[in-house]
Amino acid sequence: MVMNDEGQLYTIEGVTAGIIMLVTAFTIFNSGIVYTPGDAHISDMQIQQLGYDALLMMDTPGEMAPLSASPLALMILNKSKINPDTEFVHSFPHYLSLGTGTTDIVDSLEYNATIYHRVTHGGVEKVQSYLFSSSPNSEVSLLTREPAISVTRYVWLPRSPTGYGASEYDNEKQLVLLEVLIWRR
Amino acid sequence: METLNDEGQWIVMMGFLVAIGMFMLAIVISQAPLVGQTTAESVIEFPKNEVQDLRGKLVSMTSTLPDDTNRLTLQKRFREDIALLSMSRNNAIAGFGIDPLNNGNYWHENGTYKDIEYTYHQINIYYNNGITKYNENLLLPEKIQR
Repeated sequence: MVMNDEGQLYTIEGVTAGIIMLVTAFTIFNSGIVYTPGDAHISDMQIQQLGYDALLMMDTPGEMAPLSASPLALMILNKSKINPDTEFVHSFPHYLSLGTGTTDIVDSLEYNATIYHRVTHGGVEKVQSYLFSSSPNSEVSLLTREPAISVTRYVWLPRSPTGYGASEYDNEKQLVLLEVLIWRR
Repeated sequence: METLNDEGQWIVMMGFLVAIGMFMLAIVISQAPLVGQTTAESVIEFPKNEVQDLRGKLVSMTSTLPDDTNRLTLQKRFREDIALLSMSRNNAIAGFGIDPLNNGNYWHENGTYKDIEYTYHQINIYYNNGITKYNENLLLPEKIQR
């Protein structure tokens, strides 16, 4: 009996179509689903690095001597207990929005800065905090904001800012932690 | 049944090849956001800036210690500030020790090591946030006064 060798192209086509359907089904059912927007953390990472770099630059002392007060430390010292901050609120957003001039930067970043410091008054160690500075529109933008990212930096202070009592702020050389939350409007 | 027309097989095959090629490229493109996402997450998770900050502060501090009259107080203040604030705000165990061959806690006059010209103070920096552990042994030279 002679084998019928007609219709080979139809066979190949059928097999190929079957394979394509199998691969498609496999790809669909084997895909992981990422519920967050695909690029959310990419811009988070860039904002975080931007914030750390701005704080690093502001915390570099003008003098060569180690442990001389940096511009950032002076801003913290100049903000007394009752008066609001007037220096950080101008320079920090300015540094965040600095560009090379070759591209337009959408300046939509808001921030809120808190100081955490260790108080040892009365032999009891505790962490105290106070609002250091915040951008002018930060409260309004809280309604519609993107999730904030946090950057921190240790700042060396030669003394405490003015206006604080002994039980509120240790008046000696110390490290305080500046924590800045940055988010997009 | 009519005989199958087997002309034009090259055209059909080329069509298949191009289709398969486009399918492969689409797979590559579909991986791109996922790769960017996981890379950015790794960068965010890694405490590079915290460690650099800590290290910079300790190098600054230890450079001033030889001339500081109140060096024990300064060191103690630094160590306890870093330990408590890192623990409470950065979820990290962080600290340092100086001159471990002597007693590990304080700046020792003779240093950890010594040669003809310099005394070397060994600063052990450690940082651990549960995911990343960082330990560094830093040798800080101090010129021997004659």
